Amino acid sequence: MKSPINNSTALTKNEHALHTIFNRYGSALLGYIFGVINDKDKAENYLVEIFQLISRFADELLSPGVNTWLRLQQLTKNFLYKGDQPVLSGTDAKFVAAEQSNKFLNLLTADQKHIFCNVYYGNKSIQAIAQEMRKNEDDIKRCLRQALSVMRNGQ
Amino acid sequence: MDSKVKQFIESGILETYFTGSATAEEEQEVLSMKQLYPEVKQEFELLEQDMLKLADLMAIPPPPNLWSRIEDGINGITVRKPGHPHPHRESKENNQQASPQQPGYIEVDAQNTHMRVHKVWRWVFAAVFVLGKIFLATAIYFYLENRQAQENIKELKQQLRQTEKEQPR
Repeated sequence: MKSPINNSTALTKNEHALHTIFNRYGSALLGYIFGVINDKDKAENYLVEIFQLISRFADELLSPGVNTWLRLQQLTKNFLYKGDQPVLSGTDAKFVAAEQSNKFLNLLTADQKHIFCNVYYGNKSIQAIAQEMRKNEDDIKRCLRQALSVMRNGQ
Repeated sequence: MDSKVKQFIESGILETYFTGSATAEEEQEVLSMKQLYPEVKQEFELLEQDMLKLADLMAIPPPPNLWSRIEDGINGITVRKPGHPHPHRESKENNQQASPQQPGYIEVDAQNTHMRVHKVWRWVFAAVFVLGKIFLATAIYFYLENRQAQENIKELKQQLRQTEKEQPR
C-alpha cells in the first residue's frame, strides 16, 4: 500500500496535469469532437466524460516523449468509436461540421477529402478505405500525405 | 537525403501515424526510423507541430462552466465493479489505460488534511457572515442605547434629589 503522502502528491500532480491539459488542448479537443459528431451540446458532454476518464492518469499524458495531442486524439477516438463501427447516432451525416470548421478541406480534391475525413474524423483504417475505394493501401497513404501537405501549406 | 529515407517520408507513413491510423508495426517503424535518421526526426517534429496547429485552427472554446462540470464529475466519481462497464462507449482498451495499476479501483487518501465541499456552501457561509455582522451591529447599537438610558436615569435621579432637598425650605 502506498503511503498517504505519496497518494496525496499523486492526486495533486494528476489534478494539476489535468488542468494543464484542459487549458492547452480543451478547445482543440472540443473542436475535434464537434467535427466528428456535429452536435455542440453532445460534444461538450463527451469532452467532460473524456476528461473524467483521463483524470486518473493525466500526468502520464504530459510525460516527456509522449505526444499529448496524438494520445488525446486516440483516446477520444476510442471513446467515440468502438473498433471501426461508429456507435454514435447522426454519423451518417458526418463531416458536415468538420467541413464547416476546417476551411482547409475545401482546398482538397474529392479523394483527398474523403481519405482525410475518414481517417482523421471517421476512425477508418487505411486498409478499410483502400478496400472501399478499390485502391492500393500505399496510394491511400500517399494521398493522405498530399492532403495534409495541402492543408499545412494552407496554414 | 538517403533514398531510403526519402522514400520512407514520401510514403505517407508519418501522416498515417499522426492521424492515428497506423498499425502497431507501422508505429514501431516510425519511431525507430525517427531515432535512426535526423531527416525523419525533423519531418516528424514538423508534422507534429502542424497537426497541433491544424487542431487549434478548428478549436472551439469550451463554455466557462465546463471545467467545473469536469471537476464535479471527478469529485463524485464512484468505483466501478469489474464486469460492470461504463454505460456509454468506453472500450476495454480504455479501461486498461484508465487504471493501469488496479483496474476498477481508485485509491482514496483518507488521511488527507483537505476537504471539498459543495458550492452551495459558499452562499451559506456568505449568509452566515452577513447575519453575523448584522447581529454585531445591532448588539453595539443596543449597548450604546442602554448606556445612554443609564446616564439619563442617573441625571434624573440627581435632579430628583436636588428637588427633594429644595422642597423643605
